[in-house]
Amino acid sequence: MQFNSLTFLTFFVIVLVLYQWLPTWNAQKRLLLVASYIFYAAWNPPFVLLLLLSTLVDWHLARHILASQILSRRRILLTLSLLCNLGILGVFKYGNFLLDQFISVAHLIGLSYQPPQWDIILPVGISFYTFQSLSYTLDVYRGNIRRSASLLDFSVFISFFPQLVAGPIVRANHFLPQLESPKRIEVSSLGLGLALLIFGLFQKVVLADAIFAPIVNLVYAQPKVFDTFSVWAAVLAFSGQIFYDFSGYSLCAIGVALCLGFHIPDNFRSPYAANSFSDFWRRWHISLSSWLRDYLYISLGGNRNSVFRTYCNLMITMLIGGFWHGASWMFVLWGGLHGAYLCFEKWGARFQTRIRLPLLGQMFVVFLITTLTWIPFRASDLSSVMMIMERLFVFTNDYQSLDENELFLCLAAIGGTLVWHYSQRDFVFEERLIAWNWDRIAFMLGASMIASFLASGGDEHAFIYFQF
Amino acid sequence: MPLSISNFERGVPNQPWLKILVVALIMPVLMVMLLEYTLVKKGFQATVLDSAALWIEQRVRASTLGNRALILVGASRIQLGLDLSVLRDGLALEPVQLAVDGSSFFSVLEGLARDPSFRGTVIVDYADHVIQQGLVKDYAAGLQRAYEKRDKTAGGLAARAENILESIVRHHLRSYADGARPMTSLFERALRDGSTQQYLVTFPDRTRNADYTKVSMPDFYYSRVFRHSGLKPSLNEPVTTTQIDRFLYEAISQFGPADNRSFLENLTLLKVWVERIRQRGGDVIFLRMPVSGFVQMIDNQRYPRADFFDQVTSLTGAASIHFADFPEMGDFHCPDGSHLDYRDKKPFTKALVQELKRILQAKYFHENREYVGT
Repeated sequence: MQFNSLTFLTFFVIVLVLYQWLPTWNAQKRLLLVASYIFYAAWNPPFVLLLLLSTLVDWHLARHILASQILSRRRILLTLSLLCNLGILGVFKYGNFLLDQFISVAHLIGLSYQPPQWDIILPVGISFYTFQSLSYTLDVYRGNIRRSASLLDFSVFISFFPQLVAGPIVRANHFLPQLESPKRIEVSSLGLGLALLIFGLFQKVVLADAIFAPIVNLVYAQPKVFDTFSVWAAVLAFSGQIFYDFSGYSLCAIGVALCLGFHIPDNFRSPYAANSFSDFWRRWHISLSSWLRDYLYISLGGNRNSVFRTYCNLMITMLIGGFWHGASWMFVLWGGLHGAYLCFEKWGARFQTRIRLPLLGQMFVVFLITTLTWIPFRASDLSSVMMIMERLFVFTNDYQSLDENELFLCLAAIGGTLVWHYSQRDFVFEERLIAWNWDRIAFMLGASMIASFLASGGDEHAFIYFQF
Repeated sequence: MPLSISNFERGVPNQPWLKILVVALIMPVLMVMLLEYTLVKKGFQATVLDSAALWIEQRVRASTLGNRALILVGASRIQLGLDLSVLRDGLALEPVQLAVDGSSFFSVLEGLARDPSFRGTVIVDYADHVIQQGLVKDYAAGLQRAYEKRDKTAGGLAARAENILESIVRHHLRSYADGARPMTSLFERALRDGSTQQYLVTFPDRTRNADYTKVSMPDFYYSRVFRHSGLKPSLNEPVTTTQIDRFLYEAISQFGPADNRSFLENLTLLKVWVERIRQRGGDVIFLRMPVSGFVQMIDNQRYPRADFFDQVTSLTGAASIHFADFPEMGDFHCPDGSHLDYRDKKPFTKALVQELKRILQAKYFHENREYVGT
């Protein structure tokens, strides 16, 4: 069930009405749990069992970790949780990929091995809820959580439908306390929640799907038939598409949760206004980058050991972060490139130089490199990456060009995005809403709804991050 | 404590939210009402979207109907020219429309041949050039792939619910007529003076009606002929229809017959598929839909019947029907040269049913089975 569907809008209205109508907080939480499982089952009913399994295993293991004072036992229990969660993720997300790699290696050493294809379906959102569930047992093991949540609260935390399939990845310390106090729908939360939902849908339907996606799909399908200018436009357009697609989803998730009285942290903070790569990762997919930092990078030793070890930790974290996005070497390459930029930046910071680019220049460089680094993220294989790179840097205008109107709209939208991110660099969205007059907010919302309606009705486009 | 964990509460701006939401909602409601009103005034009507989901839904039906299935594959001629209710009543079979506008039937027929659960009868919208080019990666091939790759449980509930809700919306809003985005309806239909009227209407069973009284004739006809012939109108000055007719007649008369080698090779491929379908109790019938005027002349010049259509039955073993062989089917006039007007749909289908009945009766008699449609 996608946020930009009539099914979701109907489902959400029913949930809101029942949520407000139910007399007790426990009943409301049960409703949230049932609604979340229906939300997940609407995509593929059998896979709710995986969600249930993950929930039950981690809840039980966390209880035993909390109850045990013996370090070795706690370690075994944590290892069990890691094995179970990462095992499920490994089989369902990486099973086909690992089998293919095994066959390729066997062929390389002259073995003819052709097992039947496993044909495993990737359960939607598995990477998100697995990481969310894992963070709970890790926090319990580390002593950051000292009290066991009830099974109902923990189940709601893992399956909470607004952020179940594509994040933001919420931490237990953020969410479980919110389940302790009863909630009622309040006009102010509902108002802001709906406003965020409308702005999120605008980002997805109008900017990501109607303006950027057609150009990206056209050029990435056959980069060799397009001229240099068109390929540049498509590469820039993908920067816009991936941002608005995912940021739109996150905004919808935050808005829907807020309507129900829950507060979920931001996932994006004007990432294209970052002036360094470490700044970029503090602004892009914040819930994942902070998860990787807290549970992987720091666990590996972070920057507490030698400089070389720090670089290794950074690279491992970013490579795993890339691989988290999907079972493809292209994602690993993307993660590896970002890891290399972070290492280079850390290395460069050791030298005090007097020559520094102005802030706008730094932003431009980071945006440009980030944009070029999206190419392996979007391209199907390495040969397509090379073809696009060749088109970008070997000037040619003998080939096909994009439609001028589409091109203008796309470049204007990218330009607008950069200006918006620059102006928003040190603000969160709500601060803007406080500063605006009510009629301005109403106009923006109305215009967003009109634009979303006008752009609706095209091909179906699932949120890109659903596949991760 | 991990760095990112802290007490978190989103600040809710103090604004008159109820007033904001009401005012914001009024804007799109007014806009939609205005757009719909303009489209009603211009004679547009709401239609369903001939989407991939709808095609896949019909394709799934094709495999579940057993030997009652009567599958129509091909392109716009069969999609616009056959009436499913007449077929259903006349043949006691359950027709399923799988034709795809502007596409080849090859991938779809191949998919039906490969599908062990398909046991029905296929009517193929015969087109010489389609067989000549063979298997291609076109839109229909994409639909076939999407059908085969569909996850049988994925999106089950949500997709069905979405289809129902979407069809309700599309059933009422003209802004989405013929699969248009409201953006297109606003700029191309509502705001533009003299915009082309809606002459095509799509129905939930994927059939379509074409009302050629709503298009500007003979311009529409000539544009079809030029497109079909590959000729470029080289007359710069305003000309009379007689001059255009003379130009077309002279140019088309020069067309030589196409080489039929690849056509004949592709028929051997079709033969394999026909046999596979027959082995499961099904059948395949090739149907040449009516064409008129210069479109007919172009086809006759390029694809002489003796070298092309007449080879179909002998080389595939499947029955074939040519509209020109039957006076009751041959008298229909295609206003654009290539498609029947919706007013001719029922009478043409009735005439076709008589011939289909004869073919099916002969087949059932041959197989010692009782044909329920008699």
